[in-house]
Amino acid sequence: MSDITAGILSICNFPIMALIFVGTFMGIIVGAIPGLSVTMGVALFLPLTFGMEPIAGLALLCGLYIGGTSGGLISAILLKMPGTAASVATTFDGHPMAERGEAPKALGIGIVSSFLGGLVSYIVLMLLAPFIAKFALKFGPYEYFSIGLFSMTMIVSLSSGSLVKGVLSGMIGFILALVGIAPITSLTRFTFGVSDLNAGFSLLPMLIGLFAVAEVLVVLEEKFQPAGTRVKECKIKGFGFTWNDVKDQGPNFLISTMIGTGIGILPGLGASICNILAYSVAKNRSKYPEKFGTGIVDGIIAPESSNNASTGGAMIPLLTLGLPGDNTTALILAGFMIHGITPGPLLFRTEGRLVYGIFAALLVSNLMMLIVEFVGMRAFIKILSVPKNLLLPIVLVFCTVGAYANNNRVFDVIVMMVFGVMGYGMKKLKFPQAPVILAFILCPTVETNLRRGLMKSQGSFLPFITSPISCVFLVIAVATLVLTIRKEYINSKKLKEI
Amino acid sequence: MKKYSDMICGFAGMVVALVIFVLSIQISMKEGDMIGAGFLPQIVSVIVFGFSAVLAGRGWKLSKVYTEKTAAYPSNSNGVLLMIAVCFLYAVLLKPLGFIITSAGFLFISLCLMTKKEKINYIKFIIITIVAVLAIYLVFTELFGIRLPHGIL
Repeated sequence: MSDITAGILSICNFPIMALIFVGTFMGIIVGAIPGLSVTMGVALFLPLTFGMEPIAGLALLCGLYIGGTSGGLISAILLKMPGTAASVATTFDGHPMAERGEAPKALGIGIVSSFLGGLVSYIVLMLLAPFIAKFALKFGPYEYFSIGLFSMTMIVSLSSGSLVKGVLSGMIGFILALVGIAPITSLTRFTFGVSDLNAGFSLLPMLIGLFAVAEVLVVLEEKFQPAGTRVKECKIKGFGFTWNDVKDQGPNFLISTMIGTGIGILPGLGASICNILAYSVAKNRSKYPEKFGTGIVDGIIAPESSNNASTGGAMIPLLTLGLPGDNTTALILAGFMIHGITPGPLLFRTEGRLVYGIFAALLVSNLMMLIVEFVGMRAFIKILSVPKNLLLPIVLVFCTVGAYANNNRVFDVIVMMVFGVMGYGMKKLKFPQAPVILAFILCPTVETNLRRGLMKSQGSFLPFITSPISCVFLVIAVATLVLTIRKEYINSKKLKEI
Repeated sequence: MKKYSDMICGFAGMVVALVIFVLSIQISMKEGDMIGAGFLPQIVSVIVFGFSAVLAGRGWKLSKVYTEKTAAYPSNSNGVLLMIAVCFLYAVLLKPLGFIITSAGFLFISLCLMTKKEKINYIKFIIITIVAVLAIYLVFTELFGIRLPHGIL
């Protein structure tokens, strides 16, 4: 019996299917609650896998990973609070669409995009994993630095309306990421003697603060305004959207899925970055960029297909090289280690049955995610009928638990509140919040690889340009920057003329 | 105040940039390190200073042509300030008093703050508070195994 058949058959039994279902279901819940991350979900369930068969334990973790990455779209669309960093960009168009009374359509498009994005990336994983992993090995500090820099240029397209404020928001993210122990030399910077700052700010409390706490403060400020169209009876037919809604979205979906898969492969970036990146690319490519942020289909398909595609991408270096790309895949790697399995180039030869079993578990988890979210859609939408004045304070308590549980320290709760006030101030002063997150995540990649690269080249910047891959990304970065600034300039001139 | 908001932000950004620059030149360099841990903060501070100066300049120009718009509905700024204070109090008291007591207090106060005066129903809010806090506590501690602060309980 070939490894492929044996692998598929190894998950075709009730206990493993039930575990995948439980994992996906719990992942969706963890992902949907602002404050609880996929990493936390995987960490909580990891000890349960100790006594299980390897394939059973890993199937459970795969379900959690996929469900958690997709689940963030629910709160992003319905509450304007991204459940995880992977769904930050989904709030931009998902929530305006829900506010218009089209929540089922927004959720349906998000769910199907997540499913298809994941599906394509798992097919890529199954067919090309060893080849892609070999190519990814060619990436050194010069290449990573250039990719980081290229991703940073997306800040410009996220700051339509005011380029200056967008760049300054990005710089705030950069400054915040500089706090704590510096890479390479381990010197502490900007901690002002506060020992809790030695490890820097955590992404989770920052994200919850900037988006969730700030949103509560904005709603509170508008307390005396009459309620909008939020409480609307939504009748759901199928997935809530029609073929006409998505018929022109093929290229947007494919490009976003490729971005997700590609970024997922690279360590340190992952779903948190690729959803914003795919959104920016979709906006830059669009014939109607001014409509982004008003609740259009393109703005949901791009982030949702890319974030789930990144899960397949992240599994490529994990399985083929034993390299985890982020905290979640690092925990999945721990899941392998617990069962005495070492992922790496030999895994396909020595544990072929297990590898194909994992591939099958990923595909089944993806399908279960689609079914659970499709069935759950009707229940999720009910959240819109709960008055905001009752719902948001409870969400704030959830956020507090999430921030606290992140590192089991009250300091993170205080950080969350500080960023909440900051996010509220940014909204009032019309500074975009997404660049803060983008720059915060990218800063370590940019700085570490810049310094590593310069140490390797004995202080010369030339290899950053002479390395072909690095050069390509730098050229794209410069071109994106120039084109977006030009577009911005032309738009502002037009506005002045009006 | 709104009239000068961009200008104030610009000047604040310039001050922050200067502080970061001064702090970053004080960061020592280790042997073999080509640029040191202070290099990137210096670059960032220069960018922040430049863009903040542009923002301040633009804000100054805009302040000359600024016209105050009258809002259709009164803003609840006092409520926001009160909520911010309650949030920080909640965070500070979380450990000494414990999750259940502080969360109950916080939830009840924020429910009252978020609701219009004529719609406040204390009995309903007390029930929501008790049920929500206990449910959250039990789900997170029993189901997820997360240890929340016990405090004085």
